[in-house]
Amino acid sequence: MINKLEFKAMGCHMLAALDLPEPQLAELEQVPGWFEAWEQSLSRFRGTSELSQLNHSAGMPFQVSETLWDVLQESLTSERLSLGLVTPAVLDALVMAGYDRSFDQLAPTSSYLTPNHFAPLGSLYEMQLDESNRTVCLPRNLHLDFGGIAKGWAADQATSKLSAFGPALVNAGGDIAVSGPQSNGEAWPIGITDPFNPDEDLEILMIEHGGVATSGKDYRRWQLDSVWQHHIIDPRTGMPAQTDVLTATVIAPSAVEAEVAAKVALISGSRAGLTWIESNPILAGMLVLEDGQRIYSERISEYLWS
Amino acid sequence: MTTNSVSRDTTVVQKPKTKNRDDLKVIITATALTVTLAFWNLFSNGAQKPVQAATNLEPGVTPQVVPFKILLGGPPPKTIIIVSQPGAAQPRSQKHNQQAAPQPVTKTASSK
Repeated sequence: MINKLEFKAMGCHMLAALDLPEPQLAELEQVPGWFEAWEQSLSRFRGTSELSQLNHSAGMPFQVSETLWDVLQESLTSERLSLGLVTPAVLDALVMAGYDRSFDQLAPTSSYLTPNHFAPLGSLYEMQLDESNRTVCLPRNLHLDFGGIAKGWAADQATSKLSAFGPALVNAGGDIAVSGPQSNGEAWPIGITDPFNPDEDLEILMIEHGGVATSGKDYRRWQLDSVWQHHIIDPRTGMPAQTDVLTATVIAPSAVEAEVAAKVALISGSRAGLTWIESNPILAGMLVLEDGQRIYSERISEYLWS
Repeated sequence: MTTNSVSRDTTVVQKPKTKNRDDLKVIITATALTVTLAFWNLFSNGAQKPVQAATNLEPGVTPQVVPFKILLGGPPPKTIIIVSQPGAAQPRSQKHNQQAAPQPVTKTASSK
C-alpha cells in the first residue's frame, strides 16, 4: 500500500511516498528533516545558509560541505550538458529582474526598480575548485542560486534513501524521482498538471524508474515596471527567457536530469527545445505552448497512459 | 479663277466644366458600386451553408462559432471556429483502452 507524507520545504510543496505492506509513516517522517538540512545548506533565501555564506565570500576560498559540493558538481554537469543554458550563476540576474526574496514574499503588484542593463551571465567554470579539501573560490562577480537543480537533486537523494525500505517516490515541488516499480510490479501513475486549469491533468505518465520534472513560466511570475517577469533566466541575455513554451515536462533517468532538460526545452523555445529532446535518447517530453497547443516528443508515447 | 485661301484659327477652346462632370460621374459610379456590394453582402449571406470544422470532432466537443459583422471595404470577414478537444492533441497508443485511468500518486507542475 502507498503511504504518503506531504510537507513544505524549499518554498515548495513536497510529497514523499513509500510502498509498504501496511500503513506506516515512521520511515517517511524522516524526510522533512533531510530536506531541512539540505535547505539550510542550499537555499539562497536564508541569510545563514551555507550557500549565502559562499556567495558573500566571493573572491575568497570557502570550504563547503559534502552536500553543497555534490550539488556544485551536479551543476557543473548540467551547465556542460545544457551548453550553458542551465546554470546556477543566475542569482544576480534574478535579483535584477525583481526576484530578490522568497516567492511567498513577493507581492505580485509590487513595482521594482528598472535594472540599468542586462548582460550575458558568467559561467561556473570561472570558479576555482580544490577537491582535496572541498574548497570553492567564486569570482567576485559570480553568485549562485541552485533553484531547480537543488530540488531535483534533493528528490533523487531522498528517493534513494527511502528505497532501502521499499519502492519510493519523492516529489520536490514538481521534480519527481521514482526508485522503481511499485510492489505489484506496476509503474507509478503521475499526472501532468494543466497550466491553464491546475485542478486538471493533461496526461497521466506511467513511470517505473527515474525522474520527471516540469519547468514553466506559468506560476513564479511577478511584475517589474508593469511588465510580467518570470524566474527562468536565459543566461545568454541575463533576462527572463523569451519563449513560446509555457511549461515543459521531461522524463529522464533522474529528477535532476529531468529538471535540467525541462529548463533547456523551455528556454530554447518549442522548435529547438523539441529537437533537443528528440536528439537525446534518454529523454522524452511534452511541451505546452502559450496558445494552449501541446507538442509531444516521439518517445513519450512509451510513458503515456491512454 | 482665283482661289482665296482662308486662314483658320486652329486653337481648340476647352469646354468649360468638363472636369466637374467627370468628378460627378466617378462619384455616382463609386456610390453605385458600394451600394451594390453592400446589398450583395447582406442578402447573399443567408444562402451560405454554415462552415464545417475541418477537424474530426470527438463526441461531446462543441465548436464555438465566433459571431462576426459585415464590414464595407477591407478584406472579407472570415468565420473563426475554435475547437476545444481536451486530451486529444495527437493519436496515441491504445494499450489501456479498456481500463479506467489510474488515480495519479502525485503530479508534476512548475515549482509550487
